[in-house]
Amino acid sequence: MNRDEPFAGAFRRVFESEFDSLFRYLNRLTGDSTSAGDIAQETFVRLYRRGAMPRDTRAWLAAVANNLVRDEYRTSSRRRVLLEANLHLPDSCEARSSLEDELLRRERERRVRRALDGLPVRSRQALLLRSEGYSYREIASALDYRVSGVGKLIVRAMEEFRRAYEEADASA
Amino acid sequence: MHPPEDEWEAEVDGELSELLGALDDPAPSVSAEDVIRAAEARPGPARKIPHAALWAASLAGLTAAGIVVAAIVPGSPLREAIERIGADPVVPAAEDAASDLWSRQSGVALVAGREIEIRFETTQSQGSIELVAVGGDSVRVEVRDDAVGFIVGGGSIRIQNRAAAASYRISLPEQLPAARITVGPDTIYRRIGGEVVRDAFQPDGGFAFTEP
Repeated sequence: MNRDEPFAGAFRRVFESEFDSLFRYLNRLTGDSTSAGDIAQETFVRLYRRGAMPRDTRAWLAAVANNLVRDEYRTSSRRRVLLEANLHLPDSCEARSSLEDELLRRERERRVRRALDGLPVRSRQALLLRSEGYSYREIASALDYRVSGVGKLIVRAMEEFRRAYEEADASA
Repeated sequence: MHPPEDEWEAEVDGELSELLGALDDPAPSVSAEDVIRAAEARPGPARKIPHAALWAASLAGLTAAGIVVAAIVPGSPLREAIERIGADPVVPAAEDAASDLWSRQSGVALVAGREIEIRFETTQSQGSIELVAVGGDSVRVEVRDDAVGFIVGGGSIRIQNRAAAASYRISLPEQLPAARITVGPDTIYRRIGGEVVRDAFQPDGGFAFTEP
């Protein structure tokens, strides 16, 4: 299945520019870096096997990755490993200031994760894609959504996210 | 009314990105070459078409497939029964028996409820899909000068376009609120709430898609 050189070159360029972004999106979405890495790689494997670049490559990548996430969490027993359930604090011999910094960082992670998890899946996806610089049109394509509704979806997601984060902040 | 996209840049790049950054882990160290090797090591065609069990079932189900053929013959009793249903589920019980079989024929028709998904299993590098708007509530998919496998049921029509070069004509009711047409992994046409989504993917290469 050796691909022609122009396609292989285009593939390498897309990989270099988009892989980290797709992984970051998936990692934020799932809270599971192992799954995120697997799904990001599988998405690019599918792009390569497709043999031609889609017209809107970034939206295609996000759409395929979202489908893989959906399949992954529907068909397997793998579930998100929530950060609060997986706290590994530094050894006690570390400096106290480092420990406090680490605790603060973990606490922030926990609040952000909780606020994000409180959003409907589509709102979460839209917000995270936007944070990766996707345009409204790309988000609409990736999420199979009306372009005219994407702005409103993100506004609402932002408001809900901020409110949930602030509530978590206040109760901490 | 949503804010213009450029107004989002500063906002998203600021506080939100900083907060979301708290969730980040280092990306795995994978290279493009690693992915290419994995892709090339994977056996078989780029796209999987149906489950092997479907093929076995299709061999055993020729009789049932005849029911589907009868369903598209204008004036046939079964076809008239389908036309009378007019709401979800979109196929009658008799057709359900055949819904898990690939039935090789030159076209299918069904009465759509509020939505329809038309799915071409394989990416097409040649040929065409012509989408036409029609009155009434029947969705019809016809293949020109050829016969391909179809599965009809559950609000969808699946087309086993293994030749990947045939030409199709899809008749879609104008009043149908929601429709989606996919070719391989790509969505080439979407209608949501009666509104056609214009940013859908377009096929590549020598394959043509025309819409009303």
